[in-house]
Amino acid sequence: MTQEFNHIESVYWVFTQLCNDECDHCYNNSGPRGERISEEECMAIIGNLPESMDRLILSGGEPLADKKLLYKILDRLQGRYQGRVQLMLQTNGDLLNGQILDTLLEKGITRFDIASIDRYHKHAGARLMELAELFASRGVNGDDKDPLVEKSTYLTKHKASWGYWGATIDMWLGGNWARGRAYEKGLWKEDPEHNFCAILSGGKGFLTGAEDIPQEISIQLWKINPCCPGTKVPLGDARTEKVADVLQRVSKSEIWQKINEGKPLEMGESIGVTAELAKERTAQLKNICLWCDEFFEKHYQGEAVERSCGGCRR
Amino acid sequence: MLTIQNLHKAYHSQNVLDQVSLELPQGQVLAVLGRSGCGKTTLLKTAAGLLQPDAGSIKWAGESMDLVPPREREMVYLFQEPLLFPHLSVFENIAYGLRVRKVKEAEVQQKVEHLLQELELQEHAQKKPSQLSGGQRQRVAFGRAIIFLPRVLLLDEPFASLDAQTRATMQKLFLRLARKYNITALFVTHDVKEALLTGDRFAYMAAGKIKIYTSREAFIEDPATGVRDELAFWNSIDQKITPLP
Repeated sequence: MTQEFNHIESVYWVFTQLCNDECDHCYNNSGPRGERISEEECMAIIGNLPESMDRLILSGGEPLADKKLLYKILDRLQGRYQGRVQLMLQTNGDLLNGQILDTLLEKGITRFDIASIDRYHKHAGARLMELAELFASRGVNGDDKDPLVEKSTYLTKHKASWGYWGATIDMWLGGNWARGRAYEKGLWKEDPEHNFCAILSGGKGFLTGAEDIPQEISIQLWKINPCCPGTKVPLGDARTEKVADVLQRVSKSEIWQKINEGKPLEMGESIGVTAELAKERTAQLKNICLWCDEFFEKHYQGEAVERSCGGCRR
Repeated sequence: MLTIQNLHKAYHSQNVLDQVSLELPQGQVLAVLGRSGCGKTTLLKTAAGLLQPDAGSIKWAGESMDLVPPREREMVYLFQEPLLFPHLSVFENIAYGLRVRKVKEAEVQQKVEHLLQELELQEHAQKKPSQLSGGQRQRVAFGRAIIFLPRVLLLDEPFASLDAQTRATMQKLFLRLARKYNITALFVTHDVKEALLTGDRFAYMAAGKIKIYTSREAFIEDPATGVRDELAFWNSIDQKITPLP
């Protein structure tokens, strides 16, 4: 793989895990006592983002619960990218009002996703009518209600638009990620056959993109991940390393290449961990992400490529 | 009973609601006829709590709604383009209000299936909103709103974007369900026939002022509403058509 990583199609950044809500299905333990990083760290991360991105999704936690920091981030992003990156905000919408919406539009947000229309969230979508009115009053287009996920549609064509969605009924019945409170509370999907790695938000295509799936990485606070649930060992530390360098480095690894292919059962083959063992353990663990965790805990021992990450905890 | 007293709202010194007062007993539909810009949408949005009035009060059963946020008023405003949940099936869209209220699964199934039948949507139960026609989407929105029996339904030209035939079907459906579920509703429309068909009571709105009629006859007779002119027009057409051999 000889690709340059100075351009990434999509970056999903959880810059805070502070949240006004504390949902049972939360995969990253966000809540009123959720983990936060400093403004300084956030500014360092922005400095380490790729030279160009099609879109950057800012998420949490609840981004508006950490509003001051969000505004600083938006200002710095505008300074660096001058409107060349589509900035999207994923929010539960609880704290949004006219004044905040005006500020966000002014600071360059072009897409608002209200991601709280489900029974786990405190208001369970009851604010939707108010939000529709609020967005309409500012001329924010509401035609694209679905999350913009498909490769052909993931950039909004409007000056500013909004949509809404939430955890679906399938997820209520156990389709959540085996992470955070969802895991602790037993609300995770127990299905060893479900390959989360091969769908959107999974690891597939994080280096190269794939058919219908944009090339997307996630940054959980500072941890650079190939997927939204996150690997036990992150790819790198966005505070201290250039994202492009990190992707360049891991692109040489056969382990991470398998994740890029959406084949986590095969990710240990280059170090003697067979797909048969992986399959057996996934069946026992009942979830592919839990196999991935076990692989990084028990089998992964770093790689021949030297890591330059000084700030990683592991 | 919904009681609105002396509601007033102005934009840039222009009165959009000018001392609007009305009373609507439970289970009745007030049809509000008015042309674009007469203030009828502002009236509904203010009742829903989406807009703040400059003065006046809104009460339900004698209890002031002025400080009650929209989500707790149980006065549901139905947008012209319905706010359906794109990620949920028709069944789950309608079931949503019950699930949020933690109604038992068997009851959810029974109630939703019954309502799907009423709305003639049984065969579309598993479809997503994007797979439906405009009329079907409106029916889902209507079903979702009435399944938990809100205090008041606020309908803002709900069938305006539908073709004539679908619109007529929807009007009849609304009427039947409004009777059956004892729905209290403010139904605003610019269409004389729709007002006559859907209303138990009648009002006319122009330049922010509302006039409430004591009877259907009084509503028809008032030259301001244009009802008489419209009826006369249809009668004249009728006469022109009937002499044909």
